[in-house]
Amino acid sequence: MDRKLWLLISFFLGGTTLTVFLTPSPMMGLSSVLGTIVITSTVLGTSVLGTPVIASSALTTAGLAAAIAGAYTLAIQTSGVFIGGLAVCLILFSEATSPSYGEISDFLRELRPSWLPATAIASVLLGVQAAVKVLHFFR
Amino acid sequence: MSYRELRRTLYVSAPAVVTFLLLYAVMLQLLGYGYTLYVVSALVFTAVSLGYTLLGQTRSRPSPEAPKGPSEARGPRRLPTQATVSLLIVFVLAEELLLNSIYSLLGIILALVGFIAFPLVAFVIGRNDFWQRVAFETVSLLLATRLVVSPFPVGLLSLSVYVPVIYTLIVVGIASYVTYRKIPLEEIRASSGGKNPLLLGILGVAVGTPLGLIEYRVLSPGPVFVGAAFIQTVGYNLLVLGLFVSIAEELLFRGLLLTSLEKRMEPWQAIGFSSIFFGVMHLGWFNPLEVLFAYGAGVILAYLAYTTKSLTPAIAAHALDNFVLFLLAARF
Repeated sequence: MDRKLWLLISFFLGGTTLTVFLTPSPMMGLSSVLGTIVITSTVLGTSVLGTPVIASSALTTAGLAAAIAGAYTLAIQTSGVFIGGLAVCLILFSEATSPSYGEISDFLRELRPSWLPATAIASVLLGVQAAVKVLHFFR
Repeated sequence: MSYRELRRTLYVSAPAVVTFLLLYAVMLQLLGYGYTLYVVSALVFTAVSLGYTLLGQTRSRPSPEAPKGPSEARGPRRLPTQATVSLLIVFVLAEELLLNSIYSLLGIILALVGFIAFPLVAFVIGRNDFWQRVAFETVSLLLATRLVVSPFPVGLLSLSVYVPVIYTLIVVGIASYVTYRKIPLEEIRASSGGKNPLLLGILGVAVGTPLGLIEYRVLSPGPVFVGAAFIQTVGYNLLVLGLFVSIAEELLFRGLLLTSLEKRMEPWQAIGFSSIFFGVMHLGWFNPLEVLFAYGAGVILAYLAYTTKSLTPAIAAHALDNFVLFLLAARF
């Protein structure tokens, strides 16, 4: 890996460690929302954002906002199962199409490296899921 | 980018913005405020911006220096890249709309399907076309950013603790992918492009500050109560909102996506398409004008990255935009 990329990752790891000391508890308002917007759809955001363009809509009233927030929470929790299953399938595919076991079709041999990044990402997510579960178990 | 290409970028972006605003005003009168307006305006935004970007393509004349026959450097293609990219945008739009509805689970499933299917599709439709594969795999990475939150306990307040961890995972993913595909960092503009980094940073600050002011007006956010934890809150937001978010997003949108699209189509068109992706990925705000703002900001940031051959000004501008937004909302 390029030195610049190592430096970038080190910066993120260092910064993440630093935020352990920086994160006020609890964080309120925009900061929380902005931080999560890119990686999660902030269905909860509207309720703390105050008055965006579609404020005073049905969305910001308790009913629909709560329904969407509930659906989102459930979806995120459920997605762990899907990602875990996908990771296992991709690892099996990767192993089964390994050229070391013998001849395989050209299509599969060439497809295998295409899915390696996805396999790596899904496997890491599965590992983090397990780690978070363990941490919460001992909390 | 030549003056002619800049004009074309403006010709495509400006009418799209104006048309959307006019349609939005009409919709506002017809539909009133509400969730329906959010969904319809998202569809209209995508249709209008895509329409103008594709319309520009059909009207563009080949430049004299452009190769007339199929270029070996560009590789064989079975479908026009513009068509495949438009389909990718429609897929991401559907995923985002579902994710931000009571059918969130379907959105997650769609994200998962795209995450696994796009590398396969890219392999099937053009396995020898390196940059087309990179474009598809970058969209797959974009969808992965929706999945990466899954291991963590959900909840607005608790999630803010995990945001730095999540961004670190995203950046590790991007760095690993770039290394795996052996993409030179200069190619995705992860360098100063031979220019003075300080000047590039100042340029970014000059662009990002007004963007932050405009976004503040667009979002009109509620106050952020900093209280006694002044240093912690400002430090956290400077680090996470300012740097983590901007670096990760710029690497994805203006680094990998813009570069890969630019290799397969004209620069102004790559800027347009990458900005539509950027706009659509901001649907989570439930604010049509924020989506439009993200599209416009995407065009500006992409133009900065393209002309300077560096992500530095785009990262600086994005960081300042986010941080100014926080500072304006902060109540000390």
